Amino acid sequence: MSRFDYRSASLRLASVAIVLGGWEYAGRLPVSEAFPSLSATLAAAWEMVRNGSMIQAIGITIVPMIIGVTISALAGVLLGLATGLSRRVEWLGIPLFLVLQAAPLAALIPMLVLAYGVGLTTKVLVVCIMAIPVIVLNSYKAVRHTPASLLEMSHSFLGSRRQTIFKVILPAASPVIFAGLRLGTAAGFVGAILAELLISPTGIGDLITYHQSIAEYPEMYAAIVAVILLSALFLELLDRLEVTLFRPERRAV
Amino acid sequence: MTTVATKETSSKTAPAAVSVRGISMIYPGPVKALEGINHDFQPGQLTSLLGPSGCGKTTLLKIIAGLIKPVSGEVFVNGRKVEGPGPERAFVFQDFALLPWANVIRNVAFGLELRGVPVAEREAVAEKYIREVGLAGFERKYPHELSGGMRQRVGLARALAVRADVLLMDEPFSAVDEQTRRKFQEDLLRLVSIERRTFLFVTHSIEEAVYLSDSIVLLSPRPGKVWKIIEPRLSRKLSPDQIRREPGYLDTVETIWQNLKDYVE
Repeated sequence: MSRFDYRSASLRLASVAIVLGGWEYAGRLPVSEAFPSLSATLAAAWEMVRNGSMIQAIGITIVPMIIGVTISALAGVLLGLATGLSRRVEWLGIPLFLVLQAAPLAALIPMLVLAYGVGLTTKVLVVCIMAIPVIVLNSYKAVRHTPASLLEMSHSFLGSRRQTIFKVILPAASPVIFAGLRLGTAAGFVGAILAELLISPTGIGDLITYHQSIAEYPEMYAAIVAVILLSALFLELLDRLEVTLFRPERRAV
Repeated sequence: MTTVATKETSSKTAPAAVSVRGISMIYPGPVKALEGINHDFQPGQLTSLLGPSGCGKTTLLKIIAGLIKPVSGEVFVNGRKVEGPGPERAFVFQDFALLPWANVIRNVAFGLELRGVPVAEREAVAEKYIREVGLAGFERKYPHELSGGMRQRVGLARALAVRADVLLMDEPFSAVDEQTRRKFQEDLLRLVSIERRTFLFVTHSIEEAVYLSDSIVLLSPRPGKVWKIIEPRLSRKLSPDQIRREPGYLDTVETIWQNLKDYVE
């Protein structure tokens, strides 16, 4: 088991090394004036951390992200559970979320700006409309796919509806619910950056637009890398939360 | 409850633990799964429901469990009419139906957990039955760390732990390999003798039914009807290997096979 872990860890490192190596090589060729090498990007990132512009930008971007993702997670999981547990709510809700998931939601942004202005509310809403459909649909599917034999088992051992929901359906659904939360969070982050690029330039979005406009490409890429790292960090935290809350058997291994 | 008790006297011996009266089942299609099943299951015995696939034996077991509503007919357990699952019956599932996120002790105690028994008490009961099915030392393991045979032992311990009078076992060994299966059958016989409960056992294996059962209910296929009752009467004083070579055992297996053969084609 430990040998396997060691090997999968080294494979993961190799994957990262190949991508970063490729980046450095392409940047040095260079493939384009506007494509800086990894080392130039890292140097720019370090400078931006030192002069505080990066930290300040992250501090601004993270606000609508966190508010929006939290609202989406709570509302999305609750709606998903409701649609999964009740036929009536399913008929009412699922067509709407299927349409929303298929729709190019970024197209709604101008309408939201018209209705709610260019402030925080609109940015939070953009995060929500990007994140909620996928969270709802995953939670819904997760509940619907509870193994029939576990439901039968709970019924035969005299579990009430409430006990069956909390002791069987929710833990059984948690992996797929959390998969939905990961996808939803990633989509919400896309929404947050889109909002900053399309609505009013603030935070990381501002850094990207500004450095692009004055052709400081290493700084622009540093800002993009920062968003990616932030998103990856968030998803990792979500994974830890799931294992702590619902998956004791994954801790045991 | 007292009024139906007199109904049970139709059987010659002790009052039946489980009494099935005129059970018929039709699935949408329509497929006639069971037709007019009548049988009294004796207390403290292991009775097998045996028949070719599609004869409705699992359906009958689930009707007795209260998991499926029959189209017509009634089931009485200890003289009480079955309206749904009840505390006097416990089910052992073909696919084990264990909670993958719960360790062995929580799985075994799950029936008691659903009944609101406090943790310390239910874990004490669970530990007793984990020992009884031979899983001592595995209390903190998770299902994915156990073999198929061990998982089904967890399923059996869970059913024993709720202290039901009647244990309903739906092809419990069909997902278990042959060697494990034989060991498990011997352990089950020991459990039947010490636990003094009524076991209803669905199987499609003739050898298994003859080896384990006090009584075998042979069902005919589509629609399932009670066709023959066979009582193997093997001496339990013999060792398992001796029983499997005994003429009485081999003859019973052969008789059942001759009866079933016509249905196989």
